[in-house]
Amino acid sequence: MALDIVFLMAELIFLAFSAYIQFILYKKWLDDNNRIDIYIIIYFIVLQINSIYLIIQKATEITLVVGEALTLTRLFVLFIVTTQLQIFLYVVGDERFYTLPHIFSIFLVINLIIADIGIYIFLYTFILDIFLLLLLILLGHRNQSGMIITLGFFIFLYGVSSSFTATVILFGSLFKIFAAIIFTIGILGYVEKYFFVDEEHEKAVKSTWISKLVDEKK
Amino acid sequence: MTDFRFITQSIGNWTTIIIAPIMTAIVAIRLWNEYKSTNQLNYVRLIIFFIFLAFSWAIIPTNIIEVTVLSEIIPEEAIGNTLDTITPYSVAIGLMVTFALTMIAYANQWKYLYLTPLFVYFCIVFSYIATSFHPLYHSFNQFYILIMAVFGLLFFYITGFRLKDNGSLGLGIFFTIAFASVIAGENVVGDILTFLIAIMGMIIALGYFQPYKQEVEE
Repeated sequence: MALDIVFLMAELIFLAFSAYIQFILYKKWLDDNNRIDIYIIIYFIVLQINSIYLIIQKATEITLVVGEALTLTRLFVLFIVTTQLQIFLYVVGDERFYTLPHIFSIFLVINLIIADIGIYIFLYTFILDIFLLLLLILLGHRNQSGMIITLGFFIFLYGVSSSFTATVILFGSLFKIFAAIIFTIGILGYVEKYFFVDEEHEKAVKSTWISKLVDEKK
Repeated sequence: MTDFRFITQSIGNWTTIIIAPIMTAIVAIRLWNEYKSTNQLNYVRLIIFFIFLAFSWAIIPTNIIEVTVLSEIIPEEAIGNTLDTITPYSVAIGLMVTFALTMIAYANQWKYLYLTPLFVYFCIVFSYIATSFHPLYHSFNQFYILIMAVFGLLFFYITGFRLKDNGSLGLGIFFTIAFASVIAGENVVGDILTFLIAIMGMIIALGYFQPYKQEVEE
């Protein structure tokens, strides 16, 4: 019972955090009009619905199965993964691949109805989470975007949290909060401020040193 | 009559067995030469190469088995000659249709749809394997091939006439003959059409099919 309350609290904290993230992103979108902000807001709506579903499922302990192995949990996992991949493709900007996540997910849903292919869902999400983590770190580093780097970490940690839910559901919720904290740091601009080197600023500082040295020599 | 049928079948089959790899090789050589001289890949030619490659894959083993003693060594089901089950033959036909749709998307510059047919067909084949060869995918594959072949055929003509594109129009005629030969079945008419497919393929491969003076390729 006590564990259930802690789980409920953890999920509510995650919901509050995600609402805060959406609020910051909405304000950011009003400033820069970048569609990526809207995509991430939608992604967080999917995560929030998933959290609410997890709370309801924990309370009622009802698992609905359609066909062979299509559960609501798996459907949410596919929704989440599709949105993640779509955001990544939007960041990369390659229009040729935009339909890939949707087509793949539709087929996985059909396959789950006709056969138990749970292992493929696990492999798909696992490989994709690692792939997105590495590529988003690379992209974020190249574009000097803390938001993109922390999004990579968020996706990876959220993926890890999903694998926890099957065994120790509380750990999953705590991981989600941890992931949300990291992403909040990213969207608030702290990564750019403390981790990236501002080349112009550095040049200005160095030139000041040289000036000082020259002045001292005089 | 049976002897006459055997003669027409032999002529039709051996023509395609000989000409299919030649026309594929011609397109490949032209593609490579163009790439070497311009340092750019001609995507229309690349797609035509893949269509011819799939055509060779579909037609050569089936036709060889029909007119040689190999039918006593290799079971016909291992290669297949119909569309109602997923076999190497039907997969090759599926790939032909898929590349045809890719070509239409490319010719019309529908960027979102460039690779979509490839994703869909990959998902059909992957799902068939992942679901331990579920029979639903036999019907799915057949349905996809027939519907998309009609759709592709229509769009080849529309694109060919609208954009005055020799490639689309040529492939439209090529697919019309191929489609007609499938409908005609195993008889003298079917054999004549099989012979004509090879001839038309050779004309396209050699670049002689140019009803419009200026070829629209990029």
